[in-house]
Amino acid sequence: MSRQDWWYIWRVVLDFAKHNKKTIFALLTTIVLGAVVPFIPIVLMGLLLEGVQSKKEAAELVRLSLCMFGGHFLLQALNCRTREWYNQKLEYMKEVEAYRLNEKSLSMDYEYLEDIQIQELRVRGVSKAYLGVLGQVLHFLERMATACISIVIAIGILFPMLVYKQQNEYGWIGSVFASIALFLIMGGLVWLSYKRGLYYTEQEVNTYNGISSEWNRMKYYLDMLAGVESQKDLRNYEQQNMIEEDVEKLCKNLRSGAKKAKGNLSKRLWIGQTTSDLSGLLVYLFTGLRAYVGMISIGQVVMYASSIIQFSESVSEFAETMGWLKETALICKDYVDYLDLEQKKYQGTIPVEKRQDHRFMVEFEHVSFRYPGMQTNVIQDLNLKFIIGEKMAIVGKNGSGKTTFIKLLCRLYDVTEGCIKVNGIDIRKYNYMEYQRLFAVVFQDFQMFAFSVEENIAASEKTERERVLDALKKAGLLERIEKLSNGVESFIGKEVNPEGITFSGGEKQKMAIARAIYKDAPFLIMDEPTAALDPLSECEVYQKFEQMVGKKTALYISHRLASCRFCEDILVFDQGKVVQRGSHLELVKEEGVYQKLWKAQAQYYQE
Amino acid sequence: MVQYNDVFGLEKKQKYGMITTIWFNLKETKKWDKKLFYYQWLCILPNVAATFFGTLLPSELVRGLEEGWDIKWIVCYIFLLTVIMWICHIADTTMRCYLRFEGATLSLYYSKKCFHKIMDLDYDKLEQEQKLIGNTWKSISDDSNFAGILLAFSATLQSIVGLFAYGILIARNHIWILLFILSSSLLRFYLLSLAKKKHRTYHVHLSRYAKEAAYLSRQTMERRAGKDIRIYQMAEWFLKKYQNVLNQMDQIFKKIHNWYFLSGFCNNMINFIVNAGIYIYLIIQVLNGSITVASFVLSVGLVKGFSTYFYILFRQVISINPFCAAIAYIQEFLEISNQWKQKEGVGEAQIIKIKEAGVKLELRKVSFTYPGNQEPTLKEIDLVIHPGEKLALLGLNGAGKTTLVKLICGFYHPTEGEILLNGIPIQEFSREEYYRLVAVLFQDATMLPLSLDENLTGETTEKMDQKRLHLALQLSGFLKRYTQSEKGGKTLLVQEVNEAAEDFSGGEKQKLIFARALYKAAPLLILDEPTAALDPIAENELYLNYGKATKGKTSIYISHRLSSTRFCDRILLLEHGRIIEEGTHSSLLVANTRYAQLFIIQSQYYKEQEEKKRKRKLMGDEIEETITEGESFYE
Repeated sequence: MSRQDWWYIWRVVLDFAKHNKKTIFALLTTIVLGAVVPFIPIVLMGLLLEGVQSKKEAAELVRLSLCMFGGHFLLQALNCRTREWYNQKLEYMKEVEAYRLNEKSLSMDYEYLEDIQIQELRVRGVSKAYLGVLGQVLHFLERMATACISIVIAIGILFPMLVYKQQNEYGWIGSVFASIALFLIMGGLVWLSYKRGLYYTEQEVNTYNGISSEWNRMKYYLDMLAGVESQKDLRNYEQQNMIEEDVEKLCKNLRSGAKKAKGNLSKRLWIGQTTSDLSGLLVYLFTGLRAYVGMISIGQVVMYASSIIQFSESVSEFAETMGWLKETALICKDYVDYLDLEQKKYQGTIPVEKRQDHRFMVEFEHVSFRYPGMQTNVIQDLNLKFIIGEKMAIVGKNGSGKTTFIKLLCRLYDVTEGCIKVNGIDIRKYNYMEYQRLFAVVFQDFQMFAFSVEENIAASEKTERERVLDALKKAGLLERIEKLSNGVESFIGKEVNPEGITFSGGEKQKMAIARAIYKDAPFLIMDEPTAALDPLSECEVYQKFEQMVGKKTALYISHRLASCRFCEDILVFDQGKVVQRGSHLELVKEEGVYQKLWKAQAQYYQE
Repeated sequence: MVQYNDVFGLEKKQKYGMITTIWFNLKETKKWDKKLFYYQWLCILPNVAATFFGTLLPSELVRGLEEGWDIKWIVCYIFLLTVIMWICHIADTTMRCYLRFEGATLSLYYSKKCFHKIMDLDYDKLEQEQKLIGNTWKSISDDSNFAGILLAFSATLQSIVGLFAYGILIARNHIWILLFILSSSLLRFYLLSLAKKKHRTYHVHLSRYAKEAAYLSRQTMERRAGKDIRIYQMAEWFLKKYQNVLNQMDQIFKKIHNWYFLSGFCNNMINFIVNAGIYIYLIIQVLNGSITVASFVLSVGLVKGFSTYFYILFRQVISINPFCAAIAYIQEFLEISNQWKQKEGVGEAQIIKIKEAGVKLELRKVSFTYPGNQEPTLKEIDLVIHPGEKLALLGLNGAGKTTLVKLICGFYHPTEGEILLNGIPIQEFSREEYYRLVAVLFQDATMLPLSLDENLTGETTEKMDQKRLHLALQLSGFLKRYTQSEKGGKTLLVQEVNEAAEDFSGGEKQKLIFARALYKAAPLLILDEPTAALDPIAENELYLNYGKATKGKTSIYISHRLSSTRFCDRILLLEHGRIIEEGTHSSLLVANTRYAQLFIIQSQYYKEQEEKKRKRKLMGDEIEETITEGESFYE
């Protein structure tokens, strides 16, 4: 194991220890007791046999047995208590781990969220750890530490025999050199098995990494086929055979991967087993011979023999757990790497000017933007200026950069070149949290969460009932909500609460609008809010729009050009640039993208 | 995405019990890999033998020393025993490794079977059995279930054989010791099962919180939710929710583990009594001289071995539970039978005839009620669509449009009435035949992680019909994007899986699936909202090409955009599961219909009249308007 592996393990354990000092204490107790307890019967056995040979009284031996087993019982009971305590905390820590990851996911730059590799980092580490990342680390550390202590205790018990005062009458077997040779050989065996074990673990991990893309693919099919949506398509287009062929190929590769991994694990376990049996043999012979020449008694032979069994089991356990720890270190690496992801975005410090009149001036200066890993710019040298209080619409073809424009303005992404200024100051210099308070956005793919309506509207646990009701009213959803038996406390969807209400797409859309109203931010941005609505609901949203917006700046993105007509200022995007700007009446006369878009749509509605 | 987070084996009763499941799994294992099947049984022998030799070794050494054997003999004997033990260990390890890894590949075997099954299942069954499917999928995606059940099964067998062997050896000399440990073991068994029972009751509480925790974790990773979470600064809210869940869970964990401690404590107590009792009994016998020291050592070893096996057996019985539960779901899923028998079909000749003549679709008094619902979703639909006719199906959200499409596709079966295609009831067709006649564009299309061509045509680039594809691409408006891709038709799809894959926007995907529907060249074409993600120009292009694309085909166009009606021959307006209006655009507009009402609502912003009014207002009151607005902003 490399130093780096240990470092990752150390990081995870440290993280745990910081918050759970008591549990660490319980863990240490468990380790020590776990190592000590098995030796009690062994020592007892030795003492009893010696007692028998020296013809001691029966009562004395009975007393001895009772004492030893009594002690055994007390330690076991203590061990049981600390272990359950520690197990309880482990289960809990598995959840705390998820909490940490969630905390990170919630606070990290948005662009990480769209990065598949980073997403994988989070999923991969956790999904491999059955007991949780920390649980896995502690489990193997505990096993390893117990094995280590066992080895020490065993050597301690064996020590008097090993360094027995040299007496020539016992021949070579009684010499100190024999003891030293035994130690050296055993040490060598342990080292060898540890080294080879690690080698095979590495091989095993490599094999797994080699087939990880196949696993991904398999998982994609798994997820795809479980959903009802995909089933319509694949039935109608008879894609079954194609899928089955691909899956068959995948299975073949995966199976051969498993075979290779199996080979490596068997080798690792063989080596562990052989080392343990070989050292067992050596010490049996050693003690046997020493007993034979009369150096030690028969009672001692049994004690030593059992200690040796314990010893060799601990040795192979040690080698095995080192292998597991190595694998676990990789899981830790994913976990730690995810938590340590750097915040790329400049957080800024300047507080946002709080203005009663909501007057903000926004400027885009030579702004270009390209998504990470992409070749071409989505936004190309954009120059733009607008003042608060204007109702603006953004129109354009698919892929012309409308939604990206919004993402840049809200700082979900930062510009690649150029800068965006609000009131003359680069937006990157503003305090990030405060800056985002300026915007209320209804994204095309907005999300409501499976908690109460009230909390969803307020986007917080603390809600102001009056304002929630007001927002719902403005969004035109109050009547529907009031009819529910739990009112605003009803849950959305059944995912968390089985008694939740299933709302239609249109209703959810209104809820998203209510959430934006509740936020009461100076900028209100709506991205295609009517795409999923039928004509009646669509009309309703249009009519409510002006009322909702009030004195705020409103940005409205839509494919339905009709919805832009109540905006004084229309920006026409094409290939990442603003190609036209003006009111509907101006633009419709002007030859250009807007006219084309308008004509394409309006022709069907004009007699 | 499917979620896999509940713990198995602690839930409600399942259809199949443990024994049936194990039997089922044994049979399936044999089909997948014969070695795997035999190793489960074979590894009993070396395992029990190795343990036995381990017990024998110290007592034999003592015996040799006690009886004063020759040193050479002792060395040879120990050497021999160790070698045998080593061979047994290696054999045992090898087989267990095999069980573990090859056993895990059973997940592939079951996945293949389940994939085949789910793609063949009646569609309505599929919707009804979502819960079972979820559980089945949870089971097949976790390969530890399969290695687990094999290992647990063979460990159970091992411990049973071990118990018998050790039991007999103990009973040979000390029958009452056997009875003593047997009865104490049963007591321990009972205690642990009590703790397990308690665990089960707590699990019900736990699963509720686990569900919420999993939900929260999922949302924090979703990019869709991520935008809203950031803009509305919901992080605090989420973390508080999670914190709350954590605290609740910790309380439950505490209770569960307190019970385990209690049961463990009693267990230790029994252990103490049993061990002390046996040791004292044996030591007195040694002192009496009725047994030798070697036999004392052996007896202690045997007792220890016996309780170890008992412990293993007990642990297996508990740990095999969740594995069995997982496999029971798979078994139940694989044994679902299709309700609608696959017909042999109407024959190739008939299909060719229909393809030439065009499709005439007829719905006779079709009603449909979703299972478990009181209200029918569709009520007595009577409809004839003639060959080559272009039908527009309109309706508000929830009017029953999608249900009607699913009926026509044969996904659902009418509760009453029947659907005929060229006079033949559609259930007379075999599934393959029927799908050759119908091409459907659904709103929520799924892409396969294969090449563009394969997605479009269902065939490899070599086998597909180039000409037909080109035409389909042209008509769908996807041609430009298709030729833009570096690798053309060999471009891979789905970035999550293929690193080299290209990303397609929503609009592009919509064109792609339209091209796919056209390539299929089925005489009946059904389009469900094909323009929702398209910009006005692309939408208009689709409208303009629609006539060409559907030439000679019967087509149904579903939308809530009323503009789509202009290029259709006939309009149907669906409301509350009934056809309320029928006719052409102009005929419906003249009469005071619901359609006219909807059309006016949707077109008001596009109309010239409105525009004039607004223009006049702007020209006349332009200055005044700006001033008033200005004032309010600059206050």
